[in-house]
This record gives sequence, structure tokens and C-alpha cells, in this order.
Amino acid sequence: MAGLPEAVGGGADAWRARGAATALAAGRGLVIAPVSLLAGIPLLVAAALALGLMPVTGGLLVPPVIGAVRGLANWQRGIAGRWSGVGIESPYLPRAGRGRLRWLLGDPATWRDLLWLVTNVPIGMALGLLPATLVGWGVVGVGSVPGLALSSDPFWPFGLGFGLPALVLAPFVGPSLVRAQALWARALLAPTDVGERISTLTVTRERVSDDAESELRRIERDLHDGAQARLAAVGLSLGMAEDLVRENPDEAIALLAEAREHSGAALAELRSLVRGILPPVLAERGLGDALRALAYASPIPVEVRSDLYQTWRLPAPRESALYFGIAEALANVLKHSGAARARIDVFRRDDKVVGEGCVVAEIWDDGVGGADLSRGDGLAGVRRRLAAFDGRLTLDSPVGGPTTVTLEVPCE
Amino acid sequence: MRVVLAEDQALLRDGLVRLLTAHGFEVAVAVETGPDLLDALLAERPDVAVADIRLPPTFKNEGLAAALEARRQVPGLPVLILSQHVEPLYARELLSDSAGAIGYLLKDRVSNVRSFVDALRTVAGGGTAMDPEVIAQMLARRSRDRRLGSLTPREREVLAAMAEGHANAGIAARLVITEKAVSNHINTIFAKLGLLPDLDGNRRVLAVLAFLDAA
Repeated sequence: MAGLPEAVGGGADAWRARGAATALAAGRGLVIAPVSLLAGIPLLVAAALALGLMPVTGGLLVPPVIGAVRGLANWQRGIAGRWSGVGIESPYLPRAGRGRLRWLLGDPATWRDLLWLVTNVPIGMALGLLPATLVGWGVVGVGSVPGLALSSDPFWPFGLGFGLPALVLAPFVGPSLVRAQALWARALLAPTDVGERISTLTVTRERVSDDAESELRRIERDLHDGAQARLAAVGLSLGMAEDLVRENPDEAIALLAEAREHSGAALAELRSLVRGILPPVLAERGLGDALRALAYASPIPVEVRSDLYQTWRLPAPRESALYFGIAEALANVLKHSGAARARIDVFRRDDKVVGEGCVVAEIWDDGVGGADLSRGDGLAGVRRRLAAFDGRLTLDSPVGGPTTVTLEVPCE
Repeated sequence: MRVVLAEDQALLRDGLVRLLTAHGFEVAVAVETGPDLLDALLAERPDVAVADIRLPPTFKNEGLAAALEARRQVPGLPVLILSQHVEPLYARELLSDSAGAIGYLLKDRVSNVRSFVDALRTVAGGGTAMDPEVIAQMLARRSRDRRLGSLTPREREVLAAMAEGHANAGIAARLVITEKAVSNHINTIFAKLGLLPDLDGNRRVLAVLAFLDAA
């Protein structure tokens, strides 16, 4: 990071460092100033043309010009961080399936880039040139004093009067001027809160719709290969039985029994499919009893403590996301932890950690610990699913245990 | 034998009425909703009721709630619950008053007419008939109950068959052993579970409850 030397009381060394910083600031200013003008003006003209000619060109020129603007803005973000320690995150929205033109023009960051470009022509010029100017003026002003004095020019005090302040000022304000330019850039080039929020939402929405898509495919495949095929077999057996019932009643009875078996298997498959979509207990009784049923079916003792009341229920999608999350966490406990017992706590919390009050589920077990979110995709899938509601999943699992998985879901 | 029937899907309701009538039952009334079921059970006092768990108006567990409420007012009123799914938690709730005369079967069991009718008669006679699916779910779990853990595999088979609602003769036929052997096994099971002969309530029901609770 460029800036003032750290050892202020370091005598000659400190002054040498300060001198170097001053020269560096002057040099960097001399990069910023011409770039502001020589890249800024042509890009502004190009952007005005590309946008103005959109009716004629159909927006063909917009993407390359905006691309170049973004390139310059990214360069600015880079030097702001490297030269002045002013970090600027990239604010651009992910494309997320939209048309290229709509994506570029619909992103507020595009327009903020252009605003920066306009304002940076004077600001970048002024703040960029000043550090070098101060140094130059000071050197020339002070340097001319001996000559002027020797030639008994009566104006020599003017040289000293202008030159000395500039020379004294330059080391102190030079780096600050470069930093000021970076701060101005950050005001326009950093993501706004709204932009950041949109960006998060766009990403989570993409993931959720991807998950939903693959879930639909799975259901379709299961129905097609399972229940549908079996019901077709039922029809076939019944048809053959109808055909045979008079001349070969025994064969017909065997076929009827076969048809009944097929229909039973089809129903069993439909049941397990339904359970994976929305477990009937959850639909009928809500989260508390669904968790109790889950615990009841577990091979190790699971205590369920829930103060989610009979009268109040989470909105259905959140409730089932939470249920499947807890079920997944419990399945992990049974599969990997070697725990002798587990506990599920579900309670409503009214602080502002996630939203305006939220439901928290903690799944605790006394197993070996060492669980890791980056391994296996079960809990990662749960985390994705919760993210759709601004929910969170956190894991506390030191080696040796115990493990606690915490799921949080906002209520509103 | 008089039956009250509660089923909201017309196709299945008509089919059940036909099936029951053909096997000598008299369908006193066939209703569609949970509140109607409760009214009918209290007014008709049938020999046995057949009810779907999920009924209008809420399509939640109205049928189960109506059956439990009716049994609170009329202890031991025989009820056979039919459902698209079976849930051990519900089985536990149905049996919790230890009065017996409870059945809980998947709807598809109806297609095996003879065993369905047998189950209905068992329930009407004060016995219990749990769906093999419930039994299978309970058996799949490692036993947490030490008393149940002390049963031999054969005794567990007998207990499972008993939970399904089979009488001693049925269990004997199924396991290919003599009825005498079955009744010996059952006595050992009762002893191991600590169910003494002078105990209040149906010992077969209590044994099944112990089985369901071993989790």
C-alpha cells in the first residue's frame, strides 16, 4: 500500500521515505490525469453514439462500447485498491439468462460507470496533475532563488514565496490527492446496497430454479418408469384375463392376481414419491409432529423439543424446506456420526439476526464430530434451499464432537 | 354387522359399500366429512367404523381426529382407519387408550378382499390389525427396548403377526407351526414384556404397543 511512511520520527530515513512517496504520488497522478482525459473523452463520445444510434443499429454497438467502459472502470477499481488501499468490489449483475442488451442496459452499474466517466474527466485531471505540479512548482520556485538573488532581481522573494509553500505542501497532500481520486471513484463504482442485494437474489434464484428443474425431471422419470409402467401392466393383465375368463378360468384368476400385485406396487411407488415431495404427516400435522414422526422412526433415541405451536405455522415452502433440512441433518447423524443420541430443538426467535423474527432449528448429536460442509452435497443442498428464503445453515462440529447443525429461516 | 363408512372419494366409497354389502355387512351410513363421521359414530353406534384419515373440510387428519374423539366418548368403539400412507406415530396414537378394537391399514389392502374383511372382523371383535407396512417400519429399526431385545427372532415374528391382527390359528398357518407352539410363544412374549395375566386391558394390544414403543 502506498502512503505516508510509518516511521515519522525516523529522521533522515523518514524524510527519504516521504520523498519517495511524494515522487510516487506525482508519478501516479501523471498516469491518472491523461487516462482520465484521453480514454474518458473518446469513450464518452463512443457511448453517446452507440446509445444514440440504437434505433438505427439495433444496439449492435452497445456491448463493445460498454465492455470498454467496464474495462476502464475495472482498471480504476484495480489501481484504487493497489495504489491507495481503497477496495472497490465489482458491482455488475450476473447475466442470468437475459438478452445481452437488456442485461447491460438494465444494470444500474452501467449508468454509474458512465457518470463516473463524465465526472472523472475534470476530477481525474485536476487531482492527477496537482501532486506533480506542486513538486514542479516548488522545485522551480525555490531553485530559481539563488539565480535571481545573484542577479539582484528584486522579484526573488516571489520565487521563495510561491515555491517554498508548494515544496513543503507536496509531500503531505500529494498521496492524499491520489487517494481522493480513488475515493471519488469508489463513490460511483462500488456496488450499492440494492445492487448487491439484486446480485445475491439473482444467484440464489438461478440455483433454486435449477434445483426445481432437476427435481421435476426426477419426478417425471420416476412416474414414467414406475407407476405409469405398472398401471399399463395392470391394464394388460386385466385385458388378458377378460379374454381368457371363459375358456381358461384358472389362468384368468392368475392374471387377476398379477394385476392386483402390479397395482399394489404402483401405489407403493406413488407413496414413496409423495413422501419425497411433501411428507403426509407434515401436510396433516405441521412441523412439530412431522419431526416427532421422524424421531419415532429413528434407530437411536432422538428428543424433539419444539415450541412451534398448534396455531401458528411457517409459510408452507419454508416449513417444508426446514423439514427436509432437518431430515437431511438427522440422516447425516445416523449415517456418519456414530452418535448414541440426538436432539432436535425448534424454536422461534425474535431478534434481528436473519429477519423480522425467525425460526431456528438446532440438530445436536453426541457423535464423533468432524463434519465438513464442503464434503458431500446433502447439507450443501440444504444450504442452497434455505438461501432462497435468506435462511442460513451453520455447522459446529469439532473433531471428537459434539456436532450441532443450525438452520435459520426468516418468518416473513 | 353394521358399519359406518367415511370416505370422500366417491369411486372408492361406492366400491367399499359394494364390497362390504357383498360380504354380509350392513352399511348404516356412508359419510364424506370429519364432522359428519363424528356425528354418525355417536348416533349410530356401529359394530365397526371404516374411515379415511384425510377428509374434508381441511383435508388434514380429520378422520383420525373424529375417530379418536368418538372413542373418547364411547370407549372401545371399533374403528378401522384406512389411509393412502401409514405412519407409526398415528398407529401409536390410535392404540394409546389400550382398549384395542383398532385397525390401521393402507388403502391398497382393500384389494386383497379376504384379508381386508378378516381384518375388519378382527377389529369389530375387539382385536387390533396393524398394517404390515407399519410393522416393517418398526422391525427395520434397531431395538432400543431391552425387553423387546430379549425376544428370539421367532418370537418377534409371532409378535409382528399378532400386531397385524392374526389370531393364533392364522399365525400358526403363516409360520407353519402348531397352534400350541404359537400359544407357547405368546405366553413367553407376555412374560418377557412383563404383561401379567391380571393386567387391565387387552394383553395382545399392550404387547403391540410395547412393540410400537420400542424405538
